[in-house]
Amino acid sequence: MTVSSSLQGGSAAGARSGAAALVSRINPLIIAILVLYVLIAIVNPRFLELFNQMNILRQAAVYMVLAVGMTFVISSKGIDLSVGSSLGVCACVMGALVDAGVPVPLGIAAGLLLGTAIGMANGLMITILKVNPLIVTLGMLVTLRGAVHYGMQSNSVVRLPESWVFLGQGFIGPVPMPAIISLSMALIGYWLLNHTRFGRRTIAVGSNEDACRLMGIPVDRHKVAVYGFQGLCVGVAAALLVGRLNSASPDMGLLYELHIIAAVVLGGTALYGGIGTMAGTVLGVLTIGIVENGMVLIGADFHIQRVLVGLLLIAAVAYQEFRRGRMDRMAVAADREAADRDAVEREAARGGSG
Amino acid sequence: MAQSAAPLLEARALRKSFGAVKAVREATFDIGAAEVVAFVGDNGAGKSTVIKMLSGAHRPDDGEISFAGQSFHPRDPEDARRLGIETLYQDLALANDIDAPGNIFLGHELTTRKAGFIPWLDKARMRERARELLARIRIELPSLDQPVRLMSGGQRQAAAIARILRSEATRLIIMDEPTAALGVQETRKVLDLIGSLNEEGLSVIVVMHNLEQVFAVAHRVVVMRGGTVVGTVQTDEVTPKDVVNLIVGAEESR
Repeated sequence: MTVSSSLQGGSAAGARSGAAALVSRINPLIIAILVLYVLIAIVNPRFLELFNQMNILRQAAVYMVLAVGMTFVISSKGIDLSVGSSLGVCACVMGALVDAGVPVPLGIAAGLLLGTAIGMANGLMITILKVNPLIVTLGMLVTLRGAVHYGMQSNSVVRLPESWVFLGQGFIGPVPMPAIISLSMALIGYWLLNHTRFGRRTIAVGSNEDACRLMGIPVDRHKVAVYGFQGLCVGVAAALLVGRLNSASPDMGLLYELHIIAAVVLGGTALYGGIGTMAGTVLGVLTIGIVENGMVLIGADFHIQRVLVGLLLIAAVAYQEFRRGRMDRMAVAADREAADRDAVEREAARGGSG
Repeated sequence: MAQSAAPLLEARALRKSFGAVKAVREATFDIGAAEVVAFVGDNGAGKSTVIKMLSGAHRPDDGEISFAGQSFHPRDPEDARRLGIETLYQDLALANDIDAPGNIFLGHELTTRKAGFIPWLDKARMRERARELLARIRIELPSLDQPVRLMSGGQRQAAAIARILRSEATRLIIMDEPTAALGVQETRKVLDLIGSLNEEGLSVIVVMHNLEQVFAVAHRVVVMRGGTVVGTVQTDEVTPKDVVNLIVGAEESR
């Protein structure tokens, strides 16, 4: 009696965990995006036109590049609030250099280096001073924004060389340059996260930092590299944004950090570290881009899109928590199965000896 | 099988303090080649500090360790691992969001190159090796693809044990309370496993509280009390009761 019931319990838990695993593989954002497409297209069919679809990619490009880096930072259980301010700094330094006569490739390269250096500085402060990443990068958010306004005396650089503007405004066929660059960055990010040591260790550090140290992973150095990579993405995003706007001003990137973090978390990367998905990040950025674009096309009030994005974010985190709870329940079920087997065996042993 | 010519590991007069707390006052013992030695003692007797000095987590304040005939000063656990001492941590030290092969190769990921130059994690080979290692300890996991978070305590431990065997250099395995969190069946598997690792020629240090288990697996028992090794006994020469007396210090009062 006891034997059969506990066995049934075990197999039922097994079947349930199989189904749950299948469901958890489908990113719910795909469904959200499909629903958005249908709803927006019903109100305004122009939403589906190729030009508008490319427009969504173009507008999402800067966010996408930043979000690639942020996916690594958040997967490693970190956070970087300084990306918006850092973008402003990189944009202005690049712009000022090129404005002063430095060739465009060199100016952009200098900006990429500067972005990487700022990111690594974040990482060094976090690991050496052992200050919480939230605080370090919040400090940098304020510091860098102040610095760039001071340095530029709140002026802007305008009218940049054609070659740079092409990066931000050009097309190859029907595809905007920013879309090509940002999707390339996402592909590189996907490869890094899923198919390299760097990505594997980023997830591992976010999952269990102490275990990583015991297994010989240089955790601090790795974190510096992760923030450095985020910084490199900031540099690329800055180059794109300057090209698109054909100017560089100290206000660039204001509040971007919130947008980026929302997109990454919306995509399914876990704020508590250990889970990162680049495909999810791309979907997260696109979801927000579609909401923004669609709201304009259906003539909704500009502010309504913020309301929607905020609510989406809360829903996404609620879903993450739900998924986490389900995983814990699956682990408990696995333990219970083991206990059941023990019980079965004890029962059998008792039957045999009696 | 216990006493061969030269011991694999010799520890002489180890001492270790943390501030004013003398965690280990005097620890002298040796571990033979292909020998299973249990460390027993009350909580705070200094067992885990001694073990951490062997696994590279702590450096002794004083004393000497030699391993395989050489002076042994590991800088960190990775260094100890390179020299041939692996540790099964009590909390298993697993990255819970990563699957079993990923954990077995944590920090030692295998890579290959795609198209001749693009670095690429060699997940297929890690999986294959993981399967071999698990087969060697006669454990089958329900899935090698799910994060270890979703596995039972025994299965998670199997992944951690397979990881210990990854390196060919391993000659001594330290297990810190390997049965503390396990059920009856899984405990028996671990005890069997210690036996079969030993048969393969590996030495094992195991920290355990359950004397029945100690007598089931260990050739010798090192007893610690108040930071000092107070005795070393052969399990085939004494009874569990003698060991209990050593642990609580009843010997001296008699």
